[in-house]
Amino acid sequence: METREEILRICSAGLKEVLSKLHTDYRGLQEIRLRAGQPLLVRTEEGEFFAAADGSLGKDWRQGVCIPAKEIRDTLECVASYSLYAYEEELRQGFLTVQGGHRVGVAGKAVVEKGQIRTIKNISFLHIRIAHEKKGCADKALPWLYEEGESLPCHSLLLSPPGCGKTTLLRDLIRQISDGRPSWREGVSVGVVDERSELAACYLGIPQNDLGRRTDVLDSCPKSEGMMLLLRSMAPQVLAVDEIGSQRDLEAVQYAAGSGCRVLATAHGGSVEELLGKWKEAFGKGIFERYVVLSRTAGAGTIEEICDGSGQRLYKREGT
Amino acid sequence: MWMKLLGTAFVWIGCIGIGNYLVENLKRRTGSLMDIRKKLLLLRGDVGYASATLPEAVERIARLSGEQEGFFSLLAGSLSKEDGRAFQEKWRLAVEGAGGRLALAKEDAEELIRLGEYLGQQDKDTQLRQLDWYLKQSEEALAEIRKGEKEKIHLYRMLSVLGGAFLCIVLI
Repeated sequence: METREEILRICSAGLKEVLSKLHTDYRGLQEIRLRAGQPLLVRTEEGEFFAAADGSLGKDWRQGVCIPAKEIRDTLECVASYSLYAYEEELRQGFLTVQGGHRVGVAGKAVVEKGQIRTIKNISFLHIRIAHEKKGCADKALPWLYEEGESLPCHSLLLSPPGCGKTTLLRDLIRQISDGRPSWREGVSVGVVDERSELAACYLGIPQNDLGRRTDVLDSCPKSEGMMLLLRSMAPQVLAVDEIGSQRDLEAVQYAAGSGCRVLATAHGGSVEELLGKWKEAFGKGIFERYVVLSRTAGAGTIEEICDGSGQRLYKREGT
Repeated sequence: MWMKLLGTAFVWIGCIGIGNYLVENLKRRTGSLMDIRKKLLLLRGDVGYASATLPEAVERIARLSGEQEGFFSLLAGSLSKEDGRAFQEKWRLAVEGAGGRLALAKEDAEELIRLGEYLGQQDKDTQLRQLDWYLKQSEEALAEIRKGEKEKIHLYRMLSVLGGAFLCIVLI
């Protein structure tokens, strides 16, 4: 299914009418923002634009088509397959992942109980972040992740602020490591814990994105539990997880790394220095041997630098 | 004379037919309500145990029950279309679309449509409570129907035969 269809199928009838006429290629579309009573905003590779009722894009907000609260409610219904109860946990986290791996962020009135978010009601803001499967985007980074003569990649962490292409890069790394390349390295078995269904975009258990021929996917499972489970059940040579951040995630990564399996992960962060400062204790133990720092400087997925486990720079983008 | 006798015989048969039709309708209403309740119990299980989404659960139930053009198969077809219409609307259209086959009384259909207005909107507990509430209501309705069912069947049959006989006498 193409990105356009994947996006239109989660939209209400009114929104579908506008988005189906959008004067842009969906392959270049990065996000759609819906705010009750506010004009429709889309972000493409060229920047942020207001979308008019006829689908044209412009910088003048007055031309943007106003989104009524009902359209947001109806769209949320479609996003959640008419079953909000089935996405309670996702709503608590503030986003849902739909077919194709696209992420729909929600905001409204949070219902808090004992200091914990119980749910979000009166949802009036939606942020549709479009996932892109870019085959070959890991070509540049991949050779840096291997030590000379090694058949398995180093424990690697992809690092960037949100929206810089970590997940897209990780997806392609998984695919290439799983498939292998003739005359370079053979493919190895990869286990993927896809907590938010963004990497494989599983639909009814079947990955919609190409993650390679030797990849096993554990969908919608919390990362820490999922890593342990995959280690026990599928014996992967490489274990991949998206967006580690909690102490439990780090403990699971440590456990996996200590069990002979190589770990590929992503995390939010601006630089290696920042990360090493933030998680000094964890990273002081030297789990990761490669850090790949991404930015949007030359478009999403720009590799700024690649460092080794001690923070020593191995690669730096030209012109910086 | 023979023509007159033949005509009155037809009238009598017609009256008995009307009586049988009413009896069948009553039986079909009971059957439909029981069928809907059985499927909603399955839906409750899918929602409560497997957290299945409504399109998944409805499609599974329609498939398991082998429905061709019933309420659940109509709803499953409509939900799979992803045309951006609200769930309540699709539910209502499915109840109305399956009207002939469902053989529900007007109040039963209205109650079923009302259930659709609450499905999919709330958390799982409330969702299950809504289904429980409907199941309880329909159970009471069913008990009410069953209570007078035998008498009604007897009444319809008797009235149709006697009414037909009365008309025959008047016509002759």
